[in-house]
Amino acid sequence: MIHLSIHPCRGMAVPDATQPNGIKLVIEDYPYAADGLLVWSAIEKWVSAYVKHYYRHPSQICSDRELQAWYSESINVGHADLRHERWWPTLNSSEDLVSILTTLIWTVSAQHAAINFGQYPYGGYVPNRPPLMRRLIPEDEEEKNSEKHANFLTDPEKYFLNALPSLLQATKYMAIVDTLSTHSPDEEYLGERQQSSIWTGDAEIIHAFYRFSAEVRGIEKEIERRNSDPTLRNRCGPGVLPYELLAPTSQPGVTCRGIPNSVST
Amino acid sequence: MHPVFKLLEPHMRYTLDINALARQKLINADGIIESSFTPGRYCAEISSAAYKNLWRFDMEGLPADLIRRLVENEKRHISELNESYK
Repeated sequence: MIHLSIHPCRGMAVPDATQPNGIKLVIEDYPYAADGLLVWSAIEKWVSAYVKHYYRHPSQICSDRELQAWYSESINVGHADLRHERWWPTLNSSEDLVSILTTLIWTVSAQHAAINFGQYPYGGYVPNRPPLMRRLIPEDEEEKNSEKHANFLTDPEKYFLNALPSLLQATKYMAIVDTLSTHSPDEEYLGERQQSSIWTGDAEIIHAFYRFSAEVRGIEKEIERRNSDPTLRNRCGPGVLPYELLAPTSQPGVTCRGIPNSVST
Repeated sequence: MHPVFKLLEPHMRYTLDINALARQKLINADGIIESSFTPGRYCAEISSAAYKNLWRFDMEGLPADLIRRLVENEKRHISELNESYK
């Protein structure tokens, strides 16, 4: 019998009701998770204020035919291949709606940003993160006596360099990830929206959105602080890049930071 | 306008357009990703088969995702340990 806690560093988080998000990170200096939880919480708080304002009673959610039709279409038409899965969340309460909407907003904003905008900065130098390799590492019994295997053992670095993508492959890859990693000049970032003072006629909601914007700006400051904290060795120190993929704002171009509201590249 | 529409509107800007475009040009068989990011034929099919079995809407939120990664890692780790003790 092996006890799970012997190797705690293998995992990312464990459920913990005493923590703000209901989970405790196994590796506290895990920048994507640590910054992501701040962003997740801010989105959840904003969505919760919004939902509670418009749905005062759970029965209002069940009887909102437009809302139910939208959710049902997302599952039955949008995901027709998975429509019979048992894990689809129900939509019967404001908690259900908050969770569904928070997940949607998180996915298209922060999660997409964390995955997307570092592609060129981390992978544009192809030997640093080759998208493909053109040689297998010889390992079969048959191959052990081959010339290929001998070459591999004599000069592994040369073997590695020969396995890298061709110049044409590498150049195409660089051009594509450069495009994908670029923020356009008219990008709109988390906590911003067009006509921020008049997009709804509801003064209470305008104020709730401003509270959300202020919290997002606070997260940017906290991320800056973390990146200059030498005890956080996964994001601060000699030869270590600061982790800014979840810093909310950015200039146009390839910046390795910035959370756009939506997926646009 | 429905309030949920107004809430989601900024997050939908170009999102469905880029999804549609990506399915046609980027992640399709013989598309840009398969021909430039992978060794070639069948790679997109293998990735989509793997992802199809992994993706669950209820695990896409960050807290659930982080817990799930722990569970998956521990399971794998236990089977590795069992292998090495044989």
